[in-house]
Amino acid sequence: MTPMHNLGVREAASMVTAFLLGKAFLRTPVVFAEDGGTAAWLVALIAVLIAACGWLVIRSLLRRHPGENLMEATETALGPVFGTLVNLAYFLFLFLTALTLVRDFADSLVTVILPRTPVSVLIGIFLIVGTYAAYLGVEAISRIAWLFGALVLIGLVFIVIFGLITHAEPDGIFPFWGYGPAQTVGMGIVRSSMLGKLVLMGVVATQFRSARDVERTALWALAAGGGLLVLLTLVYQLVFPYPAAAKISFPLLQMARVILVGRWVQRVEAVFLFAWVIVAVLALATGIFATSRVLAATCKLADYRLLLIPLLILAYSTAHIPPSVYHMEVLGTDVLHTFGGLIAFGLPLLTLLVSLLRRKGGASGAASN
Amino acid sequence: MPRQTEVSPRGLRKARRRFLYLVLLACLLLQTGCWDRREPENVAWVTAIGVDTGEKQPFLFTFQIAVARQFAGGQGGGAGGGGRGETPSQMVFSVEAPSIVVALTASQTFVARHVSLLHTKAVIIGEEIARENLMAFLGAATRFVEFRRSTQVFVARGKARDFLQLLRPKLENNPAWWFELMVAGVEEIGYAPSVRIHELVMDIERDRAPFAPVVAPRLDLAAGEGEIGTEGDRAPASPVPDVVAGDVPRLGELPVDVAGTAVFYQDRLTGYLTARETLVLMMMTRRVRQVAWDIPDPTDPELRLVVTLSTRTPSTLEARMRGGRVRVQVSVKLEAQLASIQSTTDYTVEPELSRLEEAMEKGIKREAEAMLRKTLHEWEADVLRVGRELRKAFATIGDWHRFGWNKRVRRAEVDVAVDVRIRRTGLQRTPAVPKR
Repeated sequence: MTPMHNLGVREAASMVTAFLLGKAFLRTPVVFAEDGGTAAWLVALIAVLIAACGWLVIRSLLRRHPGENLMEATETALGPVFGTLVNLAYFLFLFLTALTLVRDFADSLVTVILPRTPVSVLIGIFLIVGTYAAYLGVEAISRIAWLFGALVLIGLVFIVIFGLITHAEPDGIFPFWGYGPAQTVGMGIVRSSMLGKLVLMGVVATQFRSARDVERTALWALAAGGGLLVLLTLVYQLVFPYPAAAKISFPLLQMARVILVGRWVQRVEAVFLFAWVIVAVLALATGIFATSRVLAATCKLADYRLLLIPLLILAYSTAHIPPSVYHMEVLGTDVLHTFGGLIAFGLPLLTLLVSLLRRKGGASGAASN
Repeated sequence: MPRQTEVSPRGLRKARRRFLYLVLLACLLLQTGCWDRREPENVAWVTAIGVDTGEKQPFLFTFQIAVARQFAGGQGGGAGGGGRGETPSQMVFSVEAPSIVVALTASQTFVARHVSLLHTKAVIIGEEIARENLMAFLGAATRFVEFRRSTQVFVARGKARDFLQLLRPKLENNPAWWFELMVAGVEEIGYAPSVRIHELVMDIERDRAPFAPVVAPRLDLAAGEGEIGTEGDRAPASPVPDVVAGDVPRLGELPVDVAGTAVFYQDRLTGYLTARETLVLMMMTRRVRQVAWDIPDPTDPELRLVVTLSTRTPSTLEARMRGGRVRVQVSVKLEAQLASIQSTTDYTVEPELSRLEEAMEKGIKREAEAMLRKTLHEWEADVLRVGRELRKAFATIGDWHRFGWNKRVRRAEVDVAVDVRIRRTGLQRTPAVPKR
């Protein structure tokens, strides 16, 4: 049986923030720069706002089905067949999210600091650690996230401040609309897929003390995760203005590497690596937990932990399938971060509409699970 | 007997413990440090890289490697360029290669230690490379993970190899320390800018006018043939030499110079600004503090009058477009302190004080306009970064590209306004004059 926990707002918000930012340390700011040019930060901002709208949809669905999580609400609204199919889509989305995260992270480490370590070893280690954290449960992950959240935040603020002091070029955000308003807004909508991980809130909704806590958590996570995403993109494009911003492999790492204030503040990437590894492991653990939780609910298994080892083996095997970094980019950026929003926000919207039409679930929004 | 479907708490604890052991065992067995460990004593740290054109390969790379044991325990203590004992504190060698990665690999055929760029302080780009093949080097270098964009960059008048071979600091055992001190020193006096690889690459990629400090090997000094003040080709007696590195009038040891600015058009070196022109550029674009400046004495142009200048308020630059032409207004506000007056005129009182301020304003303006004629109108190099201001007026990247600022640089009209206030008069209030 899945252990029922009482998630605290601060802890859970830290966990969701880490999940949202998992890939921000990798290519996310570069993708925004490719999409928006000098308006990269604007693309990020629009993506966050659209994701906030997406969360409102998930929230409405949860409100309509008090006491149920996203998977249960989906089955209630759509019936066992379509409900299972939609839940499998959530599983696929979360599984691919975890998969691309671990492979990208391992490839990055091989490129940057561990060039002679086999990528399979790094993938294995991170999956084992992530799986063990997932085994301990969402409460343990969220508490660790809260514990390390302050340290990660200090590291990020350090890099942001010293990045700006060292190399900021204020004209990096001009021309204001980048490739044009239509492209900027359009890509902002598309890239809301990057924050599709908010679907996690629906997965763990029943593990909070109250529906109000779910909403507060989501709000904080969106403010912290979304805010940091926009801030990091903005600072990145000031330090690496267009067109360079779209050409860097590891944006935040490079930003940390160019920091140099006097003789003493330099080579600060160690601070960055610390924050990067913590966030990546937390995001991976959260991803593995959410994936197994959704699959367990779909398969009507009482305990998600039974699926952890099979999922670990599946993830380890499939993480090796993409032959190169390029193929991972195609999978991560062109597939997951382009169409992921259709699953993360589109399917809850569809479910909500069907639920309204079929008059399934509670009529009022007064949820008290 | 009914089949047990739920795991007992005891079984769960046992399974958890086993899983934990498995994780710990995996961590022990898969310590990644085993693959990527690198002991510091097994590494040869490159402190500076020189890049020249090769004879058989595109590049000739020269590496200056610190001999760490020669300066272990402190930076100070001159040891004749050789650190402790007779062994030099640096070794220099050159390798021809198509790229820096290949050059490093080739170096391993005779350097036993792993040659690493992780602590490289400076990249010296030879004149030929700077004029013809800069991006071929930079493109490969910035992709290489050991290469740091925070490394200082210099352009050598002549060969970078000669510069590194002649660079044998007497006061600093650690060659990296010499670069740090030198860059800070010349930037403070305004004779050369401090530029990092990151800034150079950003300027090239953003289609601006990149620039870099100039260094030069002094083969004449090395051969004991240096000279001071030959007629015509050397600067007049002035505290701010109107020369580039390589021509600084001097004698003595350390046969290398750092002075002046190498200006690029896109990725090609177009020319050099002298130390004096560099200082004028610094006054217009950066904050200067207590830099020496001299003008002919208004009462006797044969004599030089020296002041120290500091930025009063940061210089402003306004750019406007009118009928396809760009008009730029630069406002420079400086405060001065009298440092040396050779004449007997008392410039600490009016009306001489105002007269001197006016003379300085006119002098700086004249030199600034001459420098801008050379850079903007001859070289088409936007050293003032006018493009930064202009970009704000465009809504989209397409509009900005269609405007084509680079093609309009030559026709830009620049008006320089200089405002100098003499704030202090030094330790002497009125000039010391012999009693008649």
